[in-house]
Amino acid sequence: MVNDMKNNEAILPNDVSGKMERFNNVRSALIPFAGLVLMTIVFEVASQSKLLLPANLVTILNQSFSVMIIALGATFVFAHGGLDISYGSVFGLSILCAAAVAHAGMTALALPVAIAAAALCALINGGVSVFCGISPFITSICILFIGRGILNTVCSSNQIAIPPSMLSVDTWQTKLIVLIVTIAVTAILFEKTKIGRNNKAIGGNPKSAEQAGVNIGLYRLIAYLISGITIGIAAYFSLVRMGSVSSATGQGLEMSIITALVLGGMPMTGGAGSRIISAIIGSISIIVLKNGLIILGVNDKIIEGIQGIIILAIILISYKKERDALLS
Amino acid sequence: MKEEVLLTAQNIDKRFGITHALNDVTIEIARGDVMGLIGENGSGKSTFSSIISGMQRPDSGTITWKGQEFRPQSMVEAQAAGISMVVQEMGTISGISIADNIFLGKEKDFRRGPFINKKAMQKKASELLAKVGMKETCPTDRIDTLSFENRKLVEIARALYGNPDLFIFDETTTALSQKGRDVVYRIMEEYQKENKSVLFISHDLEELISVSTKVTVLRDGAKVAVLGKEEMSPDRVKELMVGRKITEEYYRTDFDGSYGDEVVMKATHLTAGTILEDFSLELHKGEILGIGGLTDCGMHDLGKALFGLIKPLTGSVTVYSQDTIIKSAYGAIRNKIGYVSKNRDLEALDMNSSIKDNITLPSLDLLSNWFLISSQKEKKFAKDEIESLSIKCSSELQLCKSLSGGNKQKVSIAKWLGNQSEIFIFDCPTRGIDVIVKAALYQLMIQLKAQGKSIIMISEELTELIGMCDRIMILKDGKLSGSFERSEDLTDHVLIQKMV
Repeated sequence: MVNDMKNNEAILPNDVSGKMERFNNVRSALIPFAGLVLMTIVFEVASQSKLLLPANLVTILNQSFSVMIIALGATFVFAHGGLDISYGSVFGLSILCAAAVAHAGMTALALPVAIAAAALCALINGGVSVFCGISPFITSICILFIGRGILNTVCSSNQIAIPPSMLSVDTWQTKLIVLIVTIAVTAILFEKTKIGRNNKAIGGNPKSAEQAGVNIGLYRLIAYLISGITIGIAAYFSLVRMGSVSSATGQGLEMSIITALVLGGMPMTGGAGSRIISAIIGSISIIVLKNGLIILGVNDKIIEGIQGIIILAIILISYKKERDALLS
Repeated sequence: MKEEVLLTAQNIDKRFGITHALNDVTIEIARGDVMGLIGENGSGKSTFSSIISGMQRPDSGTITWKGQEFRPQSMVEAQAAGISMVVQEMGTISGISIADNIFLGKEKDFRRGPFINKKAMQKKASELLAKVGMKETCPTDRIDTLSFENRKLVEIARALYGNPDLFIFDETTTALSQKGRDVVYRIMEEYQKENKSVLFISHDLEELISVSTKVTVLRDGAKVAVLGKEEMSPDRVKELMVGRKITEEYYRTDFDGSYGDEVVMKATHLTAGTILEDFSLELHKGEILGIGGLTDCGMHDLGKALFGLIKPLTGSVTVYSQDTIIKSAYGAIRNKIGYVSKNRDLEALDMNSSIKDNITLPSLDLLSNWFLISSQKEKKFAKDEIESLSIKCSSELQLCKSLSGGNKQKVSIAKWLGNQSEIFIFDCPTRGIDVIVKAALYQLMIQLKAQGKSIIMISEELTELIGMCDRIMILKDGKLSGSFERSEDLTDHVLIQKMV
């Protein structure tokens, strides 16, 4: 009873003005964006204007393409509070399946097969969590290992290459269009349909979502399905760029996705603060950071270490801001 | 023989925002006293005991302990001074041994060099367990091997360690069977013999009267009486507990208790949750049906079962011509039922989300064109509700966590007004909100009734049930114990008889 009383009385005063609310809302979304702009300016100046050269922009697009597409879908899963680290393996498996059908000559089937394979993996991942009540994080670790195991087994004996004709699909124009379409579709699904709203509501408070009539299991599964589809799309374009698949394909990708979302300001618990823009800004940010360091001629053996430090610093700054916003 | 005073709490005052939890309360506990503390929910019992035991600090007032001023900053500090408490909701920690649970945080008492003397610890644990009637229990067993009741007894053993002079039982016996209760009574007797004191909080009136040497009655945060052994009678205590409040004009003024003939919702032989058993009800069109009882009588589970949130073990809930069975909250909402949880902050609202998003969540289908949610419709929907319920906020985008308790409650009710619900299940709708919002909610209920909507009001406040309902059903231990029609002569006294 004592605790209830404490909860009932909100810590914050009653009349916080609406403008303030809106401003705080916008501000928390702006911090990651400001970070990206700052980073771009620093690297642009330090590299003597090499960062924004057209050729380098295409490189940045190529490098951030997969991360961004997958992060866009992952936003739905993160919004309901699901932490998924199986992206790398599912991505690898999806490429493997697509490569197999392309290798057999059915090049037109590569894209649908990539999407179907990734969607199936994601649904298994989500389904086990939803129906067996297992923490999604744990399930995704298992999927990560199973997927990597299959890749290691299949790729150790055969080198699966695709017909060279398929490589022509890999142009920056095509990718840019795919990227824009994916952003548009996911943004609409996330902000303008029940899919996004319900997933945010589940992340915010599963009890209140249930009491508002949200079918929690169903909407969590839909989030996984969307995530799977985006993994499939990214996998296909990755395949036509690399031309073949190896046992290391996609290794470590999950960390890039999670880092991108965190850098973009996605709350780890999901809820109302989840935004599609986090996936976009976050994935460009990690690529600009890496790319900028390479341009500056930093030894690539220590780039990862520097990356870690800079990301930590950015996160510390943005979390501090959030704390200030709460206190003010 | 003059009584030696052990503890004096002088003019204790405590507020939680607008709730005046304790209003200038003075309680004196002498050595050898078993002081019973009783009052309705929210009357300030637990707030008082939590202040004495160091969990909270009073806003004003002084505590004198063994003749000296005492300001405990934590439970540990109070324990060191000789005040131990067993709380209703605290618990034991799973996965570690019984002994480790008993001495949690006090391991240094058994230190031998850098190590803990496990043998000494186990020996002491066995002694304490024997005191609570668990002589046969091995202290090195994992706590998980014990039943719920025995785990409660381990908590008592833990509180006994250090030989406190004042032992506080805060609704401890609620969780215990007769065997466990006997252990508690025996400890109380021993305390009395050793000239130590007990503060005993219980909802069980008979029990309280039989074991206490004195009883303090609290009502709405204020002390209304201290009764000596000879003055205690269940009727007298009940009357003091509830009091006859000055007739508040915000309740309904009519007493005709009329409602339609059409049954809109029916529960048949419902067994659900932890205690509710074989319960049936019929809700009519335009009726306000009250459900009352003590908080753990099963009435909150009943609300959840009626809304499809918990699956009944037996029986079913049907609506309208009894061909639609409610199986889930989604189904309930589609059949125009709305539900406001007792637990507003934890269950009814997403606190980090805006007023608009909370209000529109159950109605997104209504607000969509094909499958796209229309921002304009949504905004209008939220604004209309904010206006009609006069929710105090800066805009519909304000986050719910920054609203006051009453306005939060309005938001959780607004969800169900906007989507044209026909049946409302309100679980403790006026809990923790101030008088003005309360009055507004009562007016709203009267309006809804006039529009032919039906309401089930689950409440722990008897005066509000009497003031608002056409019919009242009282639950006791999960079963129907009494049913009352609306009447001017109905008093809380009559209802309490059926509750306890």
